[in-house]
Amino acid sequence: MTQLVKNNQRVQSFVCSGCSLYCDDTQIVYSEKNEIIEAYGLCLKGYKKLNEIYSKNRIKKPLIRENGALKEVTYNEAFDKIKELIKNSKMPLLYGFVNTSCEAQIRGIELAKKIDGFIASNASICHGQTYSNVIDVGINSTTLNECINKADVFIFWGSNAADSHPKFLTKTIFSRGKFRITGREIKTLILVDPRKTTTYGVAGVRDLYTPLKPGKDLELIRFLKGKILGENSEIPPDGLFGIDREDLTRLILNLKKSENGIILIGQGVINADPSGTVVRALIELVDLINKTSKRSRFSIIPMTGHNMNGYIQVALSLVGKINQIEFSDNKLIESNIGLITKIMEDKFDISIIVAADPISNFPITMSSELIKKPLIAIDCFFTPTTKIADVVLPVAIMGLETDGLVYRMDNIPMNLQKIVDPPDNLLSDEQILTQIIQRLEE
Amino acid sequence: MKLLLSTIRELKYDQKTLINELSEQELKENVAVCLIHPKTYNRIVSKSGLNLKLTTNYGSVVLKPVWDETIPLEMIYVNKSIWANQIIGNVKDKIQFKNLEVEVEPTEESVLEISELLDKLKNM
Repeated sequence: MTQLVKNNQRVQSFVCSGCSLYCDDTQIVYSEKNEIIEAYGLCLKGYKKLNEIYSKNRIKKPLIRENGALKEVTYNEAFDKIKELIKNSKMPLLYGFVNTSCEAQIRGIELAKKIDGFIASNASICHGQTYSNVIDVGINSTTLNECINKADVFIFWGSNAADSHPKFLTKTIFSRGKFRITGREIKTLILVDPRKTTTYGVAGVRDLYTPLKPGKDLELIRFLKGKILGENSEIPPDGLFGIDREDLTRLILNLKKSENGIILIGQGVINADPSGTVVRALIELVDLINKTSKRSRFSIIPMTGHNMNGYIQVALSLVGKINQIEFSDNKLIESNIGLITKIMEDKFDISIIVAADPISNFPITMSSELIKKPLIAIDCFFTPTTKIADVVLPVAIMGLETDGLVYRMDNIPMNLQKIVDPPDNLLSDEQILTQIIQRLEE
Repeated sequence: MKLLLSTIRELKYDQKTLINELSEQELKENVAVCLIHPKTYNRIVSKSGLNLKLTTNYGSVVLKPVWDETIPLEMIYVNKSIWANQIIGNVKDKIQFKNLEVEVEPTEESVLEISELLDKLKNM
C-alpha cells in the first residue's frame, strides 16, 4: 500500500473489491479529517462497491425474530440463540462464502466440520461445475498479465465482461503489452452470444459477433473441433447455428491462426448448461487447438464472481473437493448429494448463510424450502434473506472495512486492506464465525 | 405468446447493488423489469403502458417491460432477482436459469413489492 501526502490530503492505493478483477490500479484520497473525499481509477461497479460504506441499508445490530418480527438484541443473546439452534440441529447446511475472505471461508469449513454440516458456496450454482471439470481433465489457463502482454484474440463465450467485470476490456483489449508496441489494433474481440451485449459496444471492424442460437453451444463446439481436425464439411450458404457462413469461417480462422487466444467463459455458458458439458467441450476444444496447431495457442479463463476462486482454492486445500462437502463425526464423508438435492429433499434442518442472499438468487422452488427451517444470516445489509432470517448477525464490509485474502479470477492471490473503520466496531465474517466456533466449545 | 426466457445479471438492473442505494419502491421500478425487443412487444400488446405477465412451469410474475433492440425476437430477458426467481426452478440437481419456455401476455396487474413476494414465499 503506497501513500502520498499533499496539501494535508492523503492519497492511498487500494485494491477494489467490486468484482473478481480486484483492480489494484485504484486510489482513494483522504481529507485531513481522514474522510474519503475522492476515488480514482474505479469503474461504476467499483464506485458502487465503495459507496456501500455509506449505505442506509446497513445492519448494525444483531437481530432475532420474535413474534414474527426482527428485534434488536445484544451479541450475547444472538450468539446464545445461534448456539441453541446449532445444538438442536442434526443436519446443518452452510451456504454462501463467495463475497468474503479466504480466512472466513476457512472458518466456514471448520464450522461445518465441527457441527457435522454440509457446506456449499455460490460456486455450486455457478462456476463450481467448471472447476469440477478442471479437476477431472485439467485446463489451459492463463493470467491477466499474460492477457495484457500477449493475447491477440478474445472470445467472450456467453460472457458480458463489460457489465460483469467492467475494467476487463480496459485492462486487456485496450492495453499495450510489454512485448508489443501495438495494442487494440491487433487484438480481435469475438462475441459468442444470442444477444449483441454491451461488450460488443467496443467492437471495431476487425471484431466479430456470432449470434449463436440458444442451446446450440455443444453443436457449434463439435463443428469447430471437426474443422480444427481438418474436416472438409461445407458450411451451408445460410450458415449454421444462427451464425452466417462468412462469420463462422472467420471464427474458425481465428481459432487456427491466433498466437495467443483466450476464451472467456461467462454465465451464459454456465447457466444454460449447469451440468458443465459445454465447459468440458470448450476445454477439449482448446486442448485440440494447442495439440494440433503449429501456430495457434489458446487458454481459458472462467469469468467467476468475487472471491469464488478463493473458496475453490480453500476447499481444495482443506478437503480436496469443491462441491458435495459434508461432514459426519467431524470427518469428511463421501457424498454425491449436492446443494440443490439437499434443499429439495429436505436433507437439512437449519441453514447458516454467510455473505449471500439465496432468497434473491435461488429459484422459488428452492427458496420456499429454505425458509421452512430456521435460518441464520451473517451479512452487512438488509436483503430478502436477512429480512426472513431468524437470527441476523451484522458484519463489516470485507475489503473496505476489514482486511482479507482473496483470489482473483485468474487465481492470483490478492491482499485486500481496509480503508475505513467499520461502524459500531462491527466484526468481520471471520471473527463472527470464529466466535460461533468458540461458543460451541464452551 | 410463447418466448424463450433468459435470466441475466446486468449492473443497470442489479438488485444486489441497487438494494443498497434505492428505496424499496425505487428498487421495484428499476429491477422488476423484463427486456424485450420492441417488435416482439408490439406483437403482444395492442396498447402501450401495460405490464407483462410471464408464466413458466414454475410460476408467474408481473414485470414492467423495457424495450431493448439487442434482444433476439424470440426471447425475453429478465435480470436475476427475487422477481425473476418466481418463474425459474430446478430439474433434479440443475437450476434452469436460461432457455425456459415462457408464456408472455399483457396485464393490467401491478408489479409486486418485495414484501409481498416474501409473504407469498412464507405461505407456500
